[in-house]
Amino acid sequence: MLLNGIHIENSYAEAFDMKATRLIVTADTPAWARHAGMAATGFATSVIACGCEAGIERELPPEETPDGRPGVALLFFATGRGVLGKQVETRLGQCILTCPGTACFSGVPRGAREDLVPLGRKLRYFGDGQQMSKLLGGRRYWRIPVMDGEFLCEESSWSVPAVGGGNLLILADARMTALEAAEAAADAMRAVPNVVLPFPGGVVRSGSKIGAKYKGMPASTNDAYCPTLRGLPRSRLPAEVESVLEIVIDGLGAADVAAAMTAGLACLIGRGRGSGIWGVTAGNYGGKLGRHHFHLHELLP
Amino acid sequence: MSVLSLRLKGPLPGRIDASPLLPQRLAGLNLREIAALPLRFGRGHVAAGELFDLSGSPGDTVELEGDGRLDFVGAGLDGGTIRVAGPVGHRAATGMSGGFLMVEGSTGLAAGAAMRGGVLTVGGDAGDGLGGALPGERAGMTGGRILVQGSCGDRVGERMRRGLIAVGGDAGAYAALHMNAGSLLIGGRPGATTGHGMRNGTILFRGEIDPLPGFADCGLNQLPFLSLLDRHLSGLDGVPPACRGLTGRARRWLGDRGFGGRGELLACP
Repeated sequence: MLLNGIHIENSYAEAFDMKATRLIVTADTPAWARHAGMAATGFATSVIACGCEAGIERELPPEETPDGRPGVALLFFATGRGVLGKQVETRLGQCILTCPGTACFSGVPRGAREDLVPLGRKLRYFGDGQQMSKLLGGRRYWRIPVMDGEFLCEESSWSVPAVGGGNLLILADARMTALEAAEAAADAMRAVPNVVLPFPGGVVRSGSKIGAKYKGMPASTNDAYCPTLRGLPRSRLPAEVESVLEIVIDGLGAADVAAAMTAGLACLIGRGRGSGIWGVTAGNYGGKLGRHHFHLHELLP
Repeated sequence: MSVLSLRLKGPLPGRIDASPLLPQRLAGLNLREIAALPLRFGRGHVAAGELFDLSGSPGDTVELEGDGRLDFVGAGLDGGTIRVAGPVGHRAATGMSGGFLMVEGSTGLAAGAAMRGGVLTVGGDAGDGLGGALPGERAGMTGGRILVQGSCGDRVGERMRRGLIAVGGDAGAYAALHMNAGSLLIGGRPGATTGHGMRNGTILFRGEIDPLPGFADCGLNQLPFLSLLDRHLSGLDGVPPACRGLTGRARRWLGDRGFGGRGELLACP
């Protein structure tokens, strides 16, 4: 299908069921909330080796946060509740507790006991007996003495069902045009609520396929979309395409991922063939691994 | 919503135990059965119909004309609403675990003692032992909320373990005596020996205090939880205005160290 001169391949993104949680981190200024958010969601691009995928969902004005200070909403995604809890615990302790002036709250509705993701519940022991708790409106908060005052942290958060691995592949004439298109599309997709783009700047250049010729490699380069290999029989790239970039989307629901993909498609199609974009496709594993299939032709704006 | 009204026929003959007048208990009865309900009076009983004119229909709300000799109003309440026009006697809302008891006037001794849940609001003053412990009990209040517009007597929040007490006016002596946890907000001046023997919990007040020697002065501090508390209070009805507008900055004392405690006194400007 050609739209505004851009090939929209009849393909689909294959996404997986995940567990997610949202944390709200506040600080004295938006910049310090951002520092904490960036650190806590750093090294969280792919569950393949990072343990979780995470990102800053959006910045929050003071009137939207529990303590009336500027903040950020962070989303964390993992393959299960256990590993999600472990990842959140270590990131909270090393990246949010340590950041000056921060406080941390759950950003999801109260859930069942088996969905519990501990926050202050475990971190309180850092207080070495000097920690205090407060129960306000049915939620427990821990106050841990730290060198700049007190770290205020909700006792726990909860995991919610989520979808990870929605994606768009942008095929372009040149590396810079692919990068500009990916930047614009990532900006458009970030405006959609309940999603994060976990890779640096929202964009990934080393898309992977499952498996490798080497033992012990769970994933290896997606050679069908590598332009330097486009002369090989298994290449999926036409001669004009010199650069491919991927945008990966994790969302709290399939509808959120779909909305983000639609926003990305709308942005790319709007830029037109004249901007150097040759086409858009999506990555999948034959449809056998992930329960969620996002067909590009069904998501067109 | 069904409302049952009980108006006093005249002055009470003496102290009356009003604990049976709970909405959920009366909901299953008709007016005639309610009028025949025996209320403890001295060594004997008196029928509710002899003291009160009944009107309306029994349901989730009871409206009661109050009197300072009407004891145990809302004691053991676990749901529904009791609204009292005027004062009540002693032990109102003792052992309450849910629902609302709204007293327009003042309360006597031990209002909200051993409370476990629900909300008690007092338009006037509260007597001694507000939100305290029943005699011989190790724990006092373990949940719920007590909001008093006026002042309160001695030993407010004695042996408190959880929950919130907010007093708009002054508090008497021995506030939060042996407090284990929870929050006590005093909009006026705290009395003598505030926090004696407290092990944990928070006593928050406005203005100056000369704490007991068991409290260590930790100076002025920025406490982010205060703005969270203030936001929580702003979402509640009936919080005394003097307990609102916490700035997030407070002078903090830790104690009572004579009892190994690490509770806090917070003086908010």
